[in-house]
Amino acid sequence: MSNTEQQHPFDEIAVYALDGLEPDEQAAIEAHLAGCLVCQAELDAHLATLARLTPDEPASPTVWARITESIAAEGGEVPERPLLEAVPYPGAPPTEPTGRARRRRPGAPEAGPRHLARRRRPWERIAGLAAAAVVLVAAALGIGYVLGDRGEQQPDLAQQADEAIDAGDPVATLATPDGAAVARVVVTDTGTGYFLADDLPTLEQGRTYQLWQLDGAQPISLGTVGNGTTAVTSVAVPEGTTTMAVSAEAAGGAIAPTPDQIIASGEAT
Amino acid sequence: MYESISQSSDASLVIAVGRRSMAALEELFRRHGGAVGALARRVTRDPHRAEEVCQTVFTDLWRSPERYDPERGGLRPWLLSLAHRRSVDLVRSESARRRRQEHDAALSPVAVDEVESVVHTAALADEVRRAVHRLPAPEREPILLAYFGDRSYRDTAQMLGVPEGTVKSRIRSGLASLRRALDVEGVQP
Repeated sequence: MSNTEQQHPFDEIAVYALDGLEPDEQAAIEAHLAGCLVCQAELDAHLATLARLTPDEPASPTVWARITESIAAEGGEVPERPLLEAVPYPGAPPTEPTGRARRRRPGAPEAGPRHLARRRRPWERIAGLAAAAVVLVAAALGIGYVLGDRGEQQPDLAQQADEAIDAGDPVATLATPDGAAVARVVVTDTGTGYFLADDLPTLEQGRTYQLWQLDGAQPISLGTVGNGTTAVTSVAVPEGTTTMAVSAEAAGGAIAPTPDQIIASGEAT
Repeated sequence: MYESISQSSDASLVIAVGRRSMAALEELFRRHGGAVGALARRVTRDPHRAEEVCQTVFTDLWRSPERYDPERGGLRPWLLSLAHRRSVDLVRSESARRRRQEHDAALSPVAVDEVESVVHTAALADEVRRAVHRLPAPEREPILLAYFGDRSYRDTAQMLGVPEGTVKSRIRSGLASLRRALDVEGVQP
């Protein structure tokens, strides 16, 4: 080692931070780093310094679209019940073709510009609003996900929803543009709600329904609610929620509803 | 009662990613995806490769969020280090290496002005460029060549016509100088 500290190869750590070592030296330093907290701290300080050289700039919506496609194409990353059959909802606008996200594998040739342009528009508009957007993470953190996972159901969830309805808690019936009631949301005064997928068609793999509050200037995500096979899902419903909508999104949910994928909406009464 | 995504810390969003929240990943991409893409573009000098790097960094974060250790520092330095490593690996692929060595042979050893042209410091943000130029040239050049010019320290030593050990120690002292210079210029961590 060229530095005076016999124990810690600080010179090499600095070069390593720049990815400037030769491959054999890099492997040796990584082996040392794995067991040396002092050198880890030295490296982390260098990485923090180097990060300041790269200024912020807006993230690319094109790249985000490819990330979501890549994740959806992997399938199984977001567990979904194996679907029996994807059923396009008759009253809804034309949905994206089944398996669209799987057409291109990660690393496969890039999709055409028209495809990207079509996906870009909603994202860009949303990105402009994102700083002010209040998007609840609680539901995304797993309430809907865990319960909707593989269609499993906590046995008492439907019963809890029934009890809330019987107790007179407000219920929003979500209907399609042509008036067909397809889902209900029970709103309790504890912040917990129940999404009842009464008559939602099953989505294809890699897609999920997502519930939104529409009372403010911007939609607020109330969580993903499964792919139509989960009868009752627990969701987070903030105080004052009355108007809600459900949309079909890529698995994992979206930061705002995709405009042409809003399936049904309604108000709690 | 609920923490909004836009107000969540990077560390808690990474935890949410571990719980398969695509919305959390999207917020992290919104915060850091631009910088990750910018660094990849600088190093690869190829917008398409840079997009591939950026995509890979965030899909890897989705697959293995547990690899980020918040106790070792901020998320952005870690993401940028992943992007830098991947970019350098791409650029150092065999064909690129051959082309560069031919190029370097013509340049070596280089004058200060030529270092500047190799790494395009003019493209840096104003305050960053001012900070970089606060460093004495013997410290500045190896850092720029290694970090933005994807040169190994051996290549750098050859280009600058100085011993390899000297390059290493100048990189180390240069990084310390750079941190102080960035502080002076008010470049935020």
